[in-house]
Amino acid sequence: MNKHYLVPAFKSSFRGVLKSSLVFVAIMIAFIIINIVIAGIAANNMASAKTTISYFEFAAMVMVFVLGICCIREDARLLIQHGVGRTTTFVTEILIALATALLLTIAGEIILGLTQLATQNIGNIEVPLAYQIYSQQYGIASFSDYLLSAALMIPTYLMVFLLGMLISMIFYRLPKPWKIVVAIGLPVLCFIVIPFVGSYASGDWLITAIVYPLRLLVKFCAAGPGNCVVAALAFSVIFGICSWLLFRKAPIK
Amino acid sequence: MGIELKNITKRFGDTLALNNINLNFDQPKIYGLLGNNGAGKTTMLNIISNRIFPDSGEVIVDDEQALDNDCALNKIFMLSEKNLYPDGMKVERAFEEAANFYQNFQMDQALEMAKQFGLKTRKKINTLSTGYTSIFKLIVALNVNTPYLLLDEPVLGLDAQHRDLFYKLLLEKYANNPQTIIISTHLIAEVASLIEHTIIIREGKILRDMPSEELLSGGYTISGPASLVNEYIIGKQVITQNTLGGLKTACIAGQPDPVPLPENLELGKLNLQDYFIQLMNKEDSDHE
Repeated sequence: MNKHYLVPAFKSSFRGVLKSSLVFVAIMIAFIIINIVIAGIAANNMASAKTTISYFEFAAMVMVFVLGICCIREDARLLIQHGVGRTTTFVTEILIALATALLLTIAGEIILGLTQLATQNIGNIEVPLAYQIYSQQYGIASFSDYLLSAALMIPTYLMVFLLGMLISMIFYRLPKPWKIVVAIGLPVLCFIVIPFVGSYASGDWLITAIVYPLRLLVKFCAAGPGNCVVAALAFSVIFGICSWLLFRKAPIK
Repeated sequence: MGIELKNITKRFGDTLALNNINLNFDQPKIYGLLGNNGAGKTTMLNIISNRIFPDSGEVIVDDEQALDNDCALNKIFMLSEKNLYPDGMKVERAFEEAANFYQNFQMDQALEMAKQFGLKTRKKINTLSTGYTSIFKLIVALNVNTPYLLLDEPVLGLDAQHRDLFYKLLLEKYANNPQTIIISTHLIAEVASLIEHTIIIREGKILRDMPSEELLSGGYTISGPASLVNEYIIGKQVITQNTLGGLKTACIAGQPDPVPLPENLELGKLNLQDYFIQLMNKEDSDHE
């Protein structure tokens, strides 16, 4: 990898992501404004204030996942056309994932803060996801809660971006028949076969085998925001390494 | 200095696309990479530009390993049949991208060429016709000013007028800024006058790798009434022969006899396209 080529590669690839992210933020702002107006109208009929998780973070996760899927292939093609090697391309993608996570976190926390200010007087307080999960209090989130939320959302977005990238690479590297098998087989396996077999299997061993590690993970993350950050970073590393293994020898033509 | 291919082998399933290829592309020269469909031309160019990887062997660019080497890869620009630009990208934006990666990219000249070809720079690349997509790629290729330029079917879909303009611009560019240009094409007759060095590939193997002049000086053509030609070629190494009506043309290896030709027979120089066709015919018959 040569740092000299990293800057133009990042500049070139991030432009599209930045544009998409800004469009996304603009759409979200429009939705949030509509939501505030609706909440304001509904507040007249409510006896006491309630808190709602802002849907910005969930929507942003979906957005980041889609960016992860789309970016790697498009960028790899453009960068190889301009004489950039695989390593530099992959490092560029990691930097883009980080920059996107940072951008959407900052935008998200600002929007959430402003939304909270706008909604706290109408009895429907919108709060960040981290606040809802980890805060012991009820009501308005403080500045430190927003910092905690940012600290949690950056690795989460990074993880989701890299998951999208990994899925994209898996599909890119798979031969055509296998793409169809995986595209159909995975949902069938997860939502039909496993629940069906699991419900008839003695002692629900199959479900237990799948659910138990998930429960452990949830328990670990629920213990504190720090654990959640560690888990997100650990998954990011796993997804990143797997993506690199698939990408480094991928034909681009 | 130059591009060196060392023992390159590449398989696609059961097909051996490249079979232990050893080649040198020196600087600066115009190379013609010729071969039938499926000969391995594009595979070779894709391997040089790191788009695909060989099963074995290595590519050296200016004494550096090319594998995942940005410095080496940045010296090469490949124009391929496939479009690697994002769908929604506009032509002018693609020029900016090229300028972003190649410091020597000549934006003014690119825009001037776009005007000459009648290419609308505000259009999206994926909305361009096949011909104009080729023109767009050619303009980028002609202005990146990299030491090595790989052109894979550069004139795909171009009309005769635009093809002529491209060849003129290419020669102009080469005269002003000599570089190593590798042209892979099926339009041999059109590029024959440009090519200084010819490489002929077939089924992943190099059949010929020599200066074009040397290649063509190894034979001559004789044409005239079939009976006279038949008489003339007795005892000579005939590369190939074609009969049309009562007239016949034969390509003969070696030099013509220093004796005067019989009346009605005409001596001619071997041209690259004829040579190529004859060589392929010979290979076909050898295979049978």
